[in-house]
Amino acid sequence: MDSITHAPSTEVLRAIVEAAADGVVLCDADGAVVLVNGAAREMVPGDVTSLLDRGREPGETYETTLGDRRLRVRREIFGIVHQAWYLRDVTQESARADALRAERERTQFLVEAGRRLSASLNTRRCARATAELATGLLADAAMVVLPPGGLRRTAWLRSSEAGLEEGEIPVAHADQVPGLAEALAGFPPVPSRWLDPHQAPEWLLPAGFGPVGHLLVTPLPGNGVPAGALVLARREGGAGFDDETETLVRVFAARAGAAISAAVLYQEQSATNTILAGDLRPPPLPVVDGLELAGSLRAAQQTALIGGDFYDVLPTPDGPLVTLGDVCGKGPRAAVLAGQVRHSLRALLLLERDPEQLMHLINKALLSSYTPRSHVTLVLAAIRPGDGVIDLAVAGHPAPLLLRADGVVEEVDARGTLLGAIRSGAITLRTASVDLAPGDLLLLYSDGITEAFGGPTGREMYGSVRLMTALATCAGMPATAVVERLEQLNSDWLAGGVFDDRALLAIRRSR
Amino acid sequence: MDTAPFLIEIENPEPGTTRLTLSGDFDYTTSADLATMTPTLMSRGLSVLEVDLTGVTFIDSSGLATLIHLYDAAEEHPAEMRFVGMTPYIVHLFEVTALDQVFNLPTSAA
Repeated sequence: MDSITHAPSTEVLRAIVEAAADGVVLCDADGAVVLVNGAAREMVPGDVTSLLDRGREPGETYETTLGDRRLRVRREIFGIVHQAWYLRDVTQESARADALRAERERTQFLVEAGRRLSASLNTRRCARATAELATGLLADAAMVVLPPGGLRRTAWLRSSEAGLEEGEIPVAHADQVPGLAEALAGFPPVPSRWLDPHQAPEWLLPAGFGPVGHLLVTPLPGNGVPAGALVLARREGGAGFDDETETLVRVFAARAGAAISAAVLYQEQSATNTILAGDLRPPPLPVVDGLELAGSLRAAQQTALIGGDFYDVLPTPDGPLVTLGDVCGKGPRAAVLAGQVRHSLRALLLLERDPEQLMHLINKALLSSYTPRSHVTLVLAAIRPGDGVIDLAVAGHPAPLLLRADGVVEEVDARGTLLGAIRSGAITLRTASVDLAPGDLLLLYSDGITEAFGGPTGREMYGSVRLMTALATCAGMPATAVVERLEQLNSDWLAGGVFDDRALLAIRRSR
Repeated sequence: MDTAPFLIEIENPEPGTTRLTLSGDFDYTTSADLATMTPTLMSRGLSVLEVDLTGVTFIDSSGLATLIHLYDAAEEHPAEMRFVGMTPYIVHLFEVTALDQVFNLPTSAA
C-alpha cells in the first residue's frame, strides 16, 4: 500500500495543543503571543505575559505565584522560530510538600525536646532547655516563668537572639502579661489571638526586641501543680501562631512541665535527704591518751534509702563513752530516729554513765516515743582511762570482737534485748567488762558488715566467721589500718553489689 | 544482688489456729506486706498463731520489727504466737537481739 506522508495541517496542530492537559503559551520570534490553549486560559484568567520570564534559558523550569495558585513554568523552543511556555498548576502538590515538611519539622522538634529535657534533674537546666528549644521554630523570644513556690518573687529564664537571660520578678507582676497569672495558676491556655500583644510589659522582652506582634502564654503542667508558664513572643509583621503551632506548643509544654516538676521534686527530696543524712555523718573522733580510735561509716548506696547506722565517741569527766548503733528501717524516719537516739544519749550522759543503766533509759525513752516501732540496736562502751578496762553493754546488736596483741580473736560475751521493742519495758542485758592490754583492740561493728551479700555466688553472707578470720590477720596494726583493711575486705566480698549501711569502730590500746 | 522473692502462705490447720509460712528475703523492701496483713490476721477468732521461718533466707531490722509488731498484736488480741520453724541463721539473729527470751521458739532450736 502506498503511503503518502503529509505534514499535519495547522488546524490539527492547534487542536492537539488545545487539548493538552498542561497549559501551553506559544510566542512567535518577536515574542508576541500567538496561541494560548484552554488549560493555560483556565490557570491564568488575565494577562498571561506577566508570567513569562523571558530571561530564562530554553529548557529551564521555574515556579511562580499567581494569586493563591502556584504554577510551574518551563520554557522550550518550539519548531524553528516559535517559543513555547508550558504551565502546570502545582498548588496542591506544593501544599502537600509544605505540610509534610512542617510535620517533619514538628516531629524533629519534639524528639529533640524529649532528648534535651530528659537529660537533667536540675530545675534551672530544664527551664533553660525549655526556653532555648522554644526559640527559633516556635517564637522569636521565649520566657519560662518558674512557679513561685510560695515566695514573693519568682525566677524566669529567657532565650532570644540576645542569648540566655535570667532574672526575677515580683509574683504580682505576672498580672501585667495577659494570661500569665492564669497560666501560673494552671488554667488551660487561651488562643494567641485573644491576647493583646501591645499589653506586654517591657520586662517581658529582651532590649531592642521591637514591637510584639503575637503573644502565646501556655502553662507548664506539672505533677498536679503547675510547673510555671511558657511565654512566647513573635515580632510584629511576622506570622502569627496558627492552630498547628498552638497544638505543638501545648504538647511541648506538657513535656517541659513534666521535666521541670520532676526536677523540682527531686531537688526538694535530695535537699531533705542531705539535711537528714547530715545527722548521721560520722563525727570526728577525739584524741584519747593511751588509745587509738578509728571509725568507718559507709552509707547504703541508694541515697533515697538513708540507713540508720551511727557511732559517736562522747567525752565524760570519767572517760569517753563509745556508742555504735543501728536503727530499724530506712529513709527519713530512720535518720530522724538515729538523730533522736544520739541526742538522747548526749543528754542522758550528763546524769548517768553506766552502760547498763543508759540502755534501760534509752529503752524507756523509745517506748514512750510517738513513733511506733522505733527499734534500735546499740553497743555502749565506757572506757576507764588509765587501766584499759572497758565496760560494755550490748542491746540487740552483734557483740564486739576482741583482737589480742598475739592475734587471738574472741567474741565479747555480752548480749541483750533490742531497744524499743518489748512493750512491757523489760529488757535483759548481760554486760561484760574487758581488760584491754597494750596492743589489744576492741572492734564494734554493725550487721551491715556480717550480712553483706556477695562472694562467688553473690548470695552468700559475709558472716561473723569471715570477719573474725580477717580480724585475726590484723594483729599489731594501728587502729586506722585495721578499720581500713576490714572495710576493704568486706567491699571485696561485696564485689560492687548493693550494700546496706556498714559501720566499724576500733578502739586500740597503744600502751 | 539477686533477692529471693518474699512469700507469705496462710493456712488454717485447725479451727482457731493460723499458720504463716514465710519464705525468701524478709527485709525493708518486703516487710510491708506482712505489716499490712497483721490486723487482718487478728480478726479471725484466732487463738494460736504459728510462724514458720524455715524458708526465710534473710531478715533485716525492718523484718524483725514486723515480727515484733506481729507478736505485740497477737499478745493484745489475745492469741499465742509461736515459731514452729527456724534456721540456725535465724536462731542466731534472735539470740543477738535477745528476742529468743521474748518469743516462743521451738525447744529443739532455742
